[in-house]
Amino acid sequence: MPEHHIGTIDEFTEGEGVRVTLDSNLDVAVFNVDGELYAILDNCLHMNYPLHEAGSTSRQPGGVNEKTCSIKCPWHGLEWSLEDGYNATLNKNLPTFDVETRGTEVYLIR
Amino acid sequence: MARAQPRQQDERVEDLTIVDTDFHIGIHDAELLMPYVDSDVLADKLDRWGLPQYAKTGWTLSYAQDIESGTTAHGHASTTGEVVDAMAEFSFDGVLATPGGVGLFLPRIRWSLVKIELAKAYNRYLIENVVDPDQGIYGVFILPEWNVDDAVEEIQTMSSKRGIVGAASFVDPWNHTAGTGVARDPIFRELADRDLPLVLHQSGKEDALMSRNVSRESRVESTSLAFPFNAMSDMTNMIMTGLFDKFPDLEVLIQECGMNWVPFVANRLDDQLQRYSYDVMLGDRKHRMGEKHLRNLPSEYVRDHFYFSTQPVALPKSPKHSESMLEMCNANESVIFSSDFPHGTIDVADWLFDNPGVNDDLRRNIAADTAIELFDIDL
Repeated sequence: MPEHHIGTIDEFTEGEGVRVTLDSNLDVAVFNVDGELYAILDNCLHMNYPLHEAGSTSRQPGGVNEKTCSIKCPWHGLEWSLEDGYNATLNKNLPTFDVETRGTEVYLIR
Repeated sequence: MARAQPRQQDERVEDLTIVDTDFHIGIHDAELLMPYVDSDVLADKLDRWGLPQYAKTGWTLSYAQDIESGTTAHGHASTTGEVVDAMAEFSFDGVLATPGGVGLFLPRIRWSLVKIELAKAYNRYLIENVVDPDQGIYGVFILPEWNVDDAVEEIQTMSSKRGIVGAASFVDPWNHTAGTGVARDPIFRELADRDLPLVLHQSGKEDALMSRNVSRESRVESTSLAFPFNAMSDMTNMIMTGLFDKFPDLEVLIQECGMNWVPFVANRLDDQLQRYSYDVMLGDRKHRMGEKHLRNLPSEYVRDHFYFSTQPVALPKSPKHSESMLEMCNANESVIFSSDFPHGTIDVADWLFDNPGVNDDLRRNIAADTAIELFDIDL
């Protein structure tokens, strides 16, 4: 599968998310959860708002949960698993992507 | 790989002129209002005990959302500088500063004196600390409607203030602005004569529904239905009591109650009026006017006198249905954008682009043009 170089490990702060855009048209939110990187489509199904600010303290509805490896949408709080993209309220999954770290370089597999 | 900006800073949104017609000024601290409180009695209470508590209805937001979130979920703005910062964050070119914090819950405070004095203090705070038309910040003052004379006097005072473009009241079963019939007509006359729209915001939420089902245990039922239910009730009553026959220049903006219910109510009223129109003449206002019937169909009053702010927009997912809904709501002339900043229920403006039912003209009208005309805003 194609891989995309999306930065270096120090660009992904623990407990926060970063939006990366692949092929100029696909927005992906990459989260550092307890040192592991996870990637999920940056688009909440509720109102199509971006998820990558889930770790921001300026938006109370959001959050990154290390125990459940999940995030809450920073806009209205819908919860998404970072492992499989699952949301129990909708019983639907958002696409997730594999992320690999080689040395300090980070790649997203798609 | 490219890093993108957050959605609300989307270039399309930045390029569009946007007026947010429900931007809350958070008053959560008595000290903000203290310099503007005239009553020694209230000043003493505020100094010793802080802002008054208001009647609540039993819902615990964090239980429903599984997070701590609320009226500061996306920030806080109570000064001109803070409003300007938020406007930049969300690409708003203008805002209609709407009461927030204690200002939203005045109907649910028990003492008329406290409500009236807090309303007046908020209004003076708003003028001195928030409103600045040169920066696109306009405001609505709180109508101290719990005493008609006070309300009329406040309209006369506030209407001369630069940047004050409307009067704020509430849709709330505890506080039906129009519900006491002709007793409040001096307020409506003053507003109509001065071309000041009446701006009705949701206050308390759930009371209208709680009495109808004691087993109601989901907040979704409350927030989904109670807001529009209260709006339907007030709008219907204003129309059927002949308020707009007596004050044909009066205009009303209903905030935070959505809009999808509007075509249902308009069509239902039209139908029912043509079956049961012969007690309209018994209504206090119509009787005193010497008129037996409404001059127009209810749907025509809805079209000509009411505006609806978008948040929560909640359009159908289907583009075809969405387009039809906007058309049925007369969105091109009657629907205006709102965000509800900074509450946890916030809408940002990107839906105006992502929705295929919104063409360029409609987008401009919803985003700003209709509000600019309604409130005589100069950006």
